[in-house]
Formats: sequence, C-alpha cells, structure tokens
Amino acid sequence: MWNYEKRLQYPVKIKNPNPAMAKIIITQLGGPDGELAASLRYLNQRYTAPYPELKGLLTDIGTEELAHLEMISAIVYQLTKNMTVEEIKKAGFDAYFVDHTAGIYPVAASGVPFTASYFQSKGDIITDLNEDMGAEQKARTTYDNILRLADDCDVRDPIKFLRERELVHYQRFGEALRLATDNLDSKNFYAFNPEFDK
Amino acid sequence: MQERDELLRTINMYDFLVEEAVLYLDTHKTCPHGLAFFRKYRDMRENAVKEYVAKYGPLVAEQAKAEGYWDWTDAPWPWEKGE
Repeated sequence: MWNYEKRLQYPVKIKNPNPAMAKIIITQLGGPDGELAASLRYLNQRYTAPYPELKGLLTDIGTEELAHLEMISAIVYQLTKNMTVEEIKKAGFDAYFVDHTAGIYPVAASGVPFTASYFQSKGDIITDLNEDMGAEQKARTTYDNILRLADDCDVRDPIKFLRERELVHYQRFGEALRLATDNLDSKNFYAFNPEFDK
Repeated sequence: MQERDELLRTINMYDFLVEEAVLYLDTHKTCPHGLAFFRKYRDMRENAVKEYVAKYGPLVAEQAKAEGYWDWTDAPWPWEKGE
C-alpha cells in the first residue's frame, strides 16, 4: 500500500506565473510520455513480473513517478496562480480555463486528455522492460524539449532534476532486462514466457 | 522559515541518496557497498526527519501530535511554496 509524505521530492518555488508555460509543462502530467503514464505503466506491470527483484524495482520506480507527477502538478499550479482574464487570453490558456478554471487536470500540451492507451502492460517481462526503457527515453526527450522552451530558472531547476531521474531509471531498467534474460534460456530468450508458461 | 527550508533540504538530500540506494539494490541485491550506503543514509535521513517533525510538524499522518486539534492538515501543503 501507499503512504504519503508531505513534501515534494525536489522543491518547486516559482516566483513568476506563466500560463503559456503551464500549457506546455502539463504534458508531463497528462501527456503520452508523462509521469502519470509512467507510474501506471510500472505499477501495473509489477503484479505478474516473474522475479521478486523486478517486482521491487517496478514498485519502487512506479512510486517515485507518483512523486514526479506531484512535482509537475506543483509547477503547473504555481505557474497558473492569480491569473487575470487578460493573461489567460494572451497565453492561449482560455481553452483549458473554460473546462478546468485553474484546476489541475491531466491533459497533454495539445489538450488531449490522459488515456490508458499511453501505456501498455503486456504480461511479458522482456516486452514490458523494453517498453519501460523506451518510456524513460521518451520522457527525457520531452524534458529536453521543455528546457528548449523554458527560460525561467525557477522552472528549469526542477525540470532538470526530473530529466536526470529519467536517465537513472533507464539505467535501472536496462539492468533489470539483463537480470531477466540471465534467468532465461541463453540460446533462446523467447522460448517461453516466464509470466505465463509453466 | 529559513531553518524550516534548510531542514527540508537536508531531508530531501538524504532521502534522495536513500532512494538511489533502493533502486540500485533492487537490481544489485548483494552489493556490500550499496547495502552499507543504504544503511548510512537511511539512518541520517531518520535523524533529519526527527528534527524536522519535532519543530515543524508531521511529514506523515502518523507523526501528527494530535493534541488539541488535528495538525496533519495544517498549511502549507507541499505545492504551495511554503506560504
């Protein structure tokens, strides 16, 4: 089960609201390569993972991703504080505002709402770990793109932290894949699915 | 205010090292350096948390004083910048 700790994994203290930037960064909450997709991906894949070390890793990284989605939400929350109607219109934030006011709701930068279609839990450890490595790189690229668009160092700082974590997670999933294949037939990793076949 | 921020920063730091050790040990479960690293920073994190909670209130609901009123829900919440 989960406990909640009343602090952010890394501080978010943004002095200058910027709804246009919020529209971009919210994609790491509700978008295809964001933290919500990541947490649901790993937390769902973990149940049938064939080895206890992998159940552990998927649980622990999945839990850390929840802390990350909280950080993204904090960034969006602080970027959209005290907006005037003029600022909302000027920032192109009016389409989000009409449906959510300044509330936090998981959408991509395009406005498309979050969907479970953004992740897979295939019940096959080699497949799932490859998906996970891809997911971490997709997230890293997205953070790279956010850094190309964000000038404010209050915003850049927590984003850089989140980007670094993606690289570490990628490393861990690579090790997990090695661990999984070490346990399989070295002449044919695909001979059977350890999550299903006897 | 500043001391609170500094204590939180210390907790964040030690917690980060613990988190790194946890993920590393998940895939390297017999590494003696990793195990020692985890124990060291787990203990330092615990001390930092004790100090923070004594002065500034609960980080988890179980740490609430719960004397006179329910302090768990006190402001600020973490996304509120500490204001």
